[in-house]
Amino acid sequence: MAKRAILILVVLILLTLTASAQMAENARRDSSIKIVYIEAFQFGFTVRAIQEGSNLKVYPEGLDVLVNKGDRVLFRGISRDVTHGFYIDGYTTSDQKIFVLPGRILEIGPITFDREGKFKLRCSVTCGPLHPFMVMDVVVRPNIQYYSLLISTLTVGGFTLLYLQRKSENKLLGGYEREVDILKVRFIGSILEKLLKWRGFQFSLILPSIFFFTLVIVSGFFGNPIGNRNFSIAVVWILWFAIVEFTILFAGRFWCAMCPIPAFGEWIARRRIIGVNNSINSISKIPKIRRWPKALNNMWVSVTGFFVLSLFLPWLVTRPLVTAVVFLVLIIAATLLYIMYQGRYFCKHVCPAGYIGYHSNVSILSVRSRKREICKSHKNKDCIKGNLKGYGCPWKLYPGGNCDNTYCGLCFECIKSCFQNNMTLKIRMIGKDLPKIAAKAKNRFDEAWVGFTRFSFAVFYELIFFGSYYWLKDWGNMGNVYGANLETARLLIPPPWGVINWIRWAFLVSTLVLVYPAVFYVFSWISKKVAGIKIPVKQIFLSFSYALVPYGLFVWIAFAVSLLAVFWTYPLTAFSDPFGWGWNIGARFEWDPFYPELLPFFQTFFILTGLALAINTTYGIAKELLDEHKAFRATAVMSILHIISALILIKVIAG
Amino acid sequence: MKIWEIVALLLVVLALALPFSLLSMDKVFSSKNSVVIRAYITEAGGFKPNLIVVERGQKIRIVVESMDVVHGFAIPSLGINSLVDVGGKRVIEFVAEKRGVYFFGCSIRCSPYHFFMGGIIVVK
Ligand code: SF4
Ligand SMILES: [Cu+2]
Ligand SMILES: [Cu+2]
Repeated sequence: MAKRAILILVVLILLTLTASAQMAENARRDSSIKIVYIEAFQFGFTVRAIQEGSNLKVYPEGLDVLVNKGDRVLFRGISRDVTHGFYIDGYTTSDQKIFVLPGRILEIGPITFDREGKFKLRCSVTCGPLHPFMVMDVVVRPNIQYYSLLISTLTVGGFTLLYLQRKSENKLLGGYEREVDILKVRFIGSILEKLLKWRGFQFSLILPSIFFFTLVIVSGFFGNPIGNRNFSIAVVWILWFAIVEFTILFAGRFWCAMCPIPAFGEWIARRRIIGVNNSINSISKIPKIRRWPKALNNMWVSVTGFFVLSLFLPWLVTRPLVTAVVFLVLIIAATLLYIMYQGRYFCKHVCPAGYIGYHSNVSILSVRSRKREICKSHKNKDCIKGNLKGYGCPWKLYPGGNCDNTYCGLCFECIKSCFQNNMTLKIRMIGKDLPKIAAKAKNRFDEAWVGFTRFSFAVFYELIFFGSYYWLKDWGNMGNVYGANLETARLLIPPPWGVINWIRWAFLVSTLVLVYPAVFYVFSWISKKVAGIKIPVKQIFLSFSYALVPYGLFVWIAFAVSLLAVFWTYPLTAFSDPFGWGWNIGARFEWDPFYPELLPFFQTFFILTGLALAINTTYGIAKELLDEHKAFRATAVMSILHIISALILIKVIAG
Repeated sequence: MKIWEIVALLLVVLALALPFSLLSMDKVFSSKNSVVIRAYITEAGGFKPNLIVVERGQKIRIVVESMDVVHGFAIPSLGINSLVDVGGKRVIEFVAEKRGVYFFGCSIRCSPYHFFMGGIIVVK
């Protein structure tokens, strides 16, 4: 009996010993590991608690994951609603999908954070319409990447200012005035000229886009209700949108040459698709009442449209149905307006994508006349009136004397109609005509506002779509977690609190397009004082705002780069499965971001290019208005604002 | 000249019509020789279709696809339960040996109405 008791005792002691050793071991292991409790939900992540050793800190509403370099972190993920995924830029791979299932705790890691910087924790499992934007920042400190990017920003700003002060004969990167007439370039010149003069050219561009646009509308109405699985969203808001930003840089409004939206109206009005109907070339036939109203002879409707669409952006870019309806409305409006007013007035003054025109003066490619004198002496201006070879400019410009890309839709009618062969395509420096246009801009508040709106929204979108602020996304999204096509349209009815939150969001967005111009105005005023300029502040403000033409474009390109890098698989898959029904026409791609951990660097490259161009352009504009000395001082003041904007952007991207 | 206008017009009509005809080609492009069940959240219609009728002794091949969020596909009486990722496909094959009504349902929470997401397979 005693023996047995001793035996039991020994066993017990042994057991407790091993157990406590085990516990000590566990404690040692845990002490070097941080455990981060993360909750995933539609549409965001939040840190709920962090445990270090036996020390547990609870965060009721923690936004980002902050860790130090070298930390070993074990993530424990739970889901509040549906199944989500887990992917950290550069630290996990997308080969093995991680599912955060509702009702279960998922352990990921431990991950050793050995590179500093800002990385994104992204959802990798489609979880609803806003799934692509379900992200949270993971910051590994010290964030050296961020500091180095800040320093580069200051350096680029400083160097650009130094560069401006160079002696004017020192033409580093100079030859600013040079233009290349590409229709005269050997070999390709003549081929290109034939192509541009071929009447079927524009039609062959429009035809495929008609097909794709119809597909966008059809799949928007009947396809998969989730945006990233539907052709309409994946192709329009990732591929098309991003590519257009790049095209502006190379070819201005080239998109407008292939845009299907105004095409139907144009063909109906001309009663031709390809050929020239010379009888409509005599504009005088249109009765006086049907002249485009003077009050709309600007971009106000267009900016307002862009602004209103932006208010609904979280819906527009994630709900196939909304995109389809918007496009349908645009096509109908464009067609009616074309028939009524006989010209591309919709494109010039109404289209919400009018910003393409605003940025087009950055374009390297432009349609210009070879010799102004020839145009001046030509009485019967065929490029305005049209002839048997081509229509008079449908954009109602005088192509021969035009030196502004804003309203040139690259339809190449003037190249076709000019019998003197005086119209051509030229390659020039980025933003060559911009200073002159800006200096002459009187009361063009409309164009200025396009610039302000575009620029401030670029920063804002970067922040809301790729930032941690899930509640902001939720406000803009009206708290609605459903995707929708025609059949499920009723699911779009937002909950009442969603509408209230949306009003807050709308308020915020509206403030944005007022605050930035206000700050810009203050800086214009300071620059007037500092440089001792006589010109009214209003003019300085308006003229200098054209620096946002290149700046805004490059900031959007930076945004487009992140869209493409992270979501490139969606549009490609959409081509083989347009309705998101699991078809397999072509190749399918699993979501797999392209070097997302390097994105801040890629993006900064474009932002800083924009910054340099903005400062350079400001100086160009200032020189048109003032003498060199004053111009430089005024530019220096404005560059402070531009550098600050860049720093804010860098903060959003990498901070 | 005129002939080109007509050709162009035809091409335009074609470009407009093609997407619609694609819409009706689901049978051609989706998985053949099998019953395709598309899973939507209950609010958007649940399993489509949610009634499948088969003959006894027949081999059944069901392809389940999740359309909006991750769903599960379970036939409890046959011990089948699997997760279906969005964009992914699950192929389920079995021989219906016994006559009767087999219930299938979603086994992963997918929306507030998740528990109402189900359907039946009738073996005649
Ligand atoms: S302005 Fe708008 S509608 Fe007109 S061609 Fe350009 S994008 Fe299309
Ligand atoms: Cu998610
Ligand atoms: Cu389900």
